Amino acid sequence: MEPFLRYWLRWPSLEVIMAVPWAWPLAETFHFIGLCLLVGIVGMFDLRILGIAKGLPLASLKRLLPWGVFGFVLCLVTGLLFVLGIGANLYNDNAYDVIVRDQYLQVKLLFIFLAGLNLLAFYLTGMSRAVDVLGKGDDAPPLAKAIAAASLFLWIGVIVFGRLIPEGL
Amino acid sequence: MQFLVWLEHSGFATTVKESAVLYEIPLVLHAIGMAALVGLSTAVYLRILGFGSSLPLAPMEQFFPIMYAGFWVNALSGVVLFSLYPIKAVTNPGFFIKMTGVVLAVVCLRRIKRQVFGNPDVLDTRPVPTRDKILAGTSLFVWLATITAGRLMAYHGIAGVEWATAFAVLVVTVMLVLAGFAADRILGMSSPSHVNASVSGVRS
Repeated sequence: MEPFLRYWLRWPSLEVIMAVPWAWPLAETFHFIGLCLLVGIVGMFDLRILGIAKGLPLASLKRLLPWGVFGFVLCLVTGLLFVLGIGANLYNDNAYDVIVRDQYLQVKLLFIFLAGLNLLAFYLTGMSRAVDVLGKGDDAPPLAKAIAAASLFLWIGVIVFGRLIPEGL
Repeated sequence: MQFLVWLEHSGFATTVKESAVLYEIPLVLHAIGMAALVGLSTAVYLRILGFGSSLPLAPMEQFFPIMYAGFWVNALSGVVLFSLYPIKAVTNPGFFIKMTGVVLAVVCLRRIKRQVFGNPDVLDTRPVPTRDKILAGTSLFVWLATITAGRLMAYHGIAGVEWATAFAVLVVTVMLVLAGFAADRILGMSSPSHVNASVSGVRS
C-alpha cells in the first residue's frame, strides 16, 4: 500500500507548475476565496436552519448554494495542487510522508470527509426535502438543526486545522 | 520606530512568538473572522447582484451582527499579529494595501447597509437599483484585492512574486467570471430575470 500511495501521490508535472514562484501564492489566494464562498454561503444556509434570519425562505436560499459548491471546488482544486505538488515547496518531500506525519492535515481531511457524510445524511434522512418547504418564519425540524450545527462545526474545524498544517510539517 | 522596536521585543510579543500554541491562536481567529465577514458579506453581495433573486433581501440584515463580530475578531487578532512583527509590517507595502482594502471594504459594507437595507419600505418591492449592484460588485472586488494583498504579505522580498501573483489572480478571476457567464448561457443555470418571486406587481 505504501509504495502505491507514495507513487501515486507525487505528481512531477504539478511540482513543475507549483515551482513557478507565483504559482503557490496564487493557489493560496484562491484557496482563501474558495473558503470564503464555501463557509459564507453554506454557513448562511446553516445559520438560517438554526433560526437566524427566519424571514429567508429556505427553498430560495438554496439558489445561492451553487456558489458554495463553487467555493468548495476552488478549495479542492487548489488543495490538490498543494498536496500533489508538495515537492515544489518542501524540497524532496513526498505527499505520503507529509500526510503521515502532519496530524493537522489528517484531521482537516477527516473533517472534510465527515462534512461530506453530514451532507449525505442531510439528504438521506429527508431533512433536505423537509427544509425545502420552510418559508418565512418557519422553524426547522430538530434533526435538520443538528445537521446544520454539525456542518458549521466541521467547516470551522476545517479552517482551524487547515491553519495549523504548517505547524505539523 | 523606536516604539515598534520595543513592541517587537516586548514581553508579550516574545511570549507569543516563543509558543506554538499562543502564536497560532490569533492566526486561527483571523481565518475564522475572515470567513464570517467576507463569507457572509459575499453571500449578501451576490444576492444584491441578482443571484438567487427570489430571496428577500430584508431578512439578510440579521447577518450583519455576525459580520461585524468577524470584523472585530480580526481587528483584535490583527493588532496582536501586528505587535509580533511590527517592523516587518510597516516595511511591507502589502500591509498598507491590505489595510486600505479593509477600510474600503468596511466603508462599502456600511454604505450598503444604509443604501440597501436603510430603506425597508422600498426594499424587496422593486428590482435592486443598478447603483446598489455597482456598490456590491465593487465591494467584492475590494475583498478580492484585500485577501490577495494579505496573502502576499508573506512573500515580500521574493523578487517580482507579489506583482506577478496579483496579476495572475486578476487574470484567473476574469477567466472564471467569463467561464461563469458562458456556463450560465449554455446551461441556462440562473433563473430568467422576469421570474422574481419576492417582487410583487412589477412588470418584467
